[in-house]
Amino acid sequence: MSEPYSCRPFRNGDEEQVQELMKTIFSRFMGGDYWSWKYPLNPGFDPSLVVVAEKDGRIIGCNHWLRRRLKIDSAREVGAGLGADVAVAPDFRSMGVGKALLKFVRTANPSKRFEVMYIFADPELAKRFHSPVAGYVPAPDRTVAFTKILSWVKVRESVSSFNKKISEGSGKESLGGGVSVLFRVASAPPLFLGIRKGGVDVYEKEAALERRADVTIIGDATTLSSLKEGGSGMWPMVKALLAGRLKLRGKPWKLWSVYRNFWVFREVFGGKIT
Amino acid sequence: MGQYYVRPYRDGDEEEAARLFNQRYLAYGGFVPRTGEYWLWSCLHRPDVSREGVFFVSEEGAQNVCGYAVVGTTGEIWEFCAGCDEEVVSSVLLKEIARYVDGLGISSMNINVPDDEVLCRVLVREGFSRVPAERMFVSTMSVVNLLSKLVVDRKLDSEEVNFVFDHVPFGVERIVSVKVHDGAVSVAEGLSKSADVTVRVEFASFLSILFGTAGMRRELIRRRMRVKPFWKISEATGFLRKVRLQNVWYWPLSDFG
Repeated sequence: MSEPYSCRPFRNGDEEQVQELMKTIFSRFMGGDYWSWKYPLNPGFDPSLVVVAEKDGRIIGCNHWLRRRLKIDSAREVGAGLGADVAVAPDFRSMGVGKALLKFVRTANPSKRFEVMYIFADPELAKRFHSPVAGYVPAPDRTVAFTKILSWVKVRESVSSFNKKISEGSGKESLGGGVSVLFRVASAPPLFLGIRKGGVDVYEKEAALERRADVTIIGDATTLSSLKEGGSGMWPMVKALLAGRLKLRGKPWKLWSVYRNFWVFREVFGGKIT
Repeated sequence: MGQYYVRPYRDGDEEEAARLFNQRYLAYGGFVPRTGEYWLWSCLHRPDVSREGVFFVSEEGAQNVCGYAVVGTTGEIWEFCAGCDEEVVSSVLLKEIARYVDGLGISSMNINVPDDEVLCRVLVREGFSRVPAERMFVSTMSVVNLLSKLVVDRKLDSEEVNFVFDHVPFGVERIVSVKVHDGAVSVAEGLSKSADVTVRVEFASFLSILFGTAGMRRELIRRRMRVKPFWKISEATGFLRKVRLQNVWYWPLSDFG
């Protein structure tokens, strides 16, 4: 049986196809300028560390590596490879293209046996994909992230597409309606979400405070992260409640309504909100 | 405590920025050591960064730079460095950043900092809150190359240790020997017949021990690491203790790419 695709190093002339592929995967932030800055204009750019998967002349996957010096303790630096962007065309996913690219980049450059290879990744993705293939383990990382939400524009966008889905009848569940929630999240402006039968209304800042909410949810930005953790059920919320990081105010039967409509909040906060 | 003023980037500031960054984060690992060239690429030439989004703080009457911040029009604070009087300089920078992003119409500001009490306190005071960060993961393409770097300048006794790895990723050496004799250290692929001790260890456990995220006792108890002969355990663990990394790591958003 012939190979469904083959892997090879990046070569001149591939730029356009690779950029197009990256744009389809990372449409929000990977414009052409971004790719040019990150790779060809990078002082450590090495084209042999970019590999592509090809099928009948079409580039269906790419894996980018960046060569860097990395400080590993106060006195020691090593040659390192940062595993950067991996993209696989939607019609070739779940066919092992990502893993094949990762293996290929390790064998295609025998002279570039980096002392350290590193990646930035979601822990679940690293456990599922990167660790089995390349033996990645957590770094002694003490980096903490902070955010300050200035507006809920991305939640508004998310609500708008959610309402569209509901009006088209393509939502997974039907809206029960009849509950409104005011979110008072530290380091973010107030946010009001009103769930009605036909969709969700959203108001922020002063307009949110002008409305009467059935339930007020008070917490920090981590609370929103717990709302996003759909796979873990209600447990992250319960943990936040028990730890005092989250407070709920409202009549008990309205709190029950919030619980019933919990999936709506997951949909709304499920995408990128900052 | 002096008075500080903020000024924009001037040509040539990249060398001072690189020096300040390397000095401020000297005790940390996990980042790319700054050079002027790397700073220009990772900060100033970034597509969403303009000169208006780069702030340098100096003390009144002095020329030297006390801190700087690089902010993108996306709201990402790519690099943040307060080299002296950290609490005050950080506040000055964050206020300047707030003024800058106010007119951009962006939805949020995001920053990565080391888990440092002063800086975290300032960020909370300026209205930020802590959120889960992406994590950094490490591996190697060559245990021989990695160990060769780690043994440099370590005070090692004369010893010979063989390492045999289980569940090795594709392309990495499965057997490695370390020989220390009269202060000279050699690391090579393959077994050394004259080695006093052989350590059989899961590849992931070995890396976690070297990078300081797993304890040797735990890996021994869980049978992920075994030493032959077993009475040489203290020699094997003694060697690993000497070469393992001690520093914690920090990576600024600008290293993310």
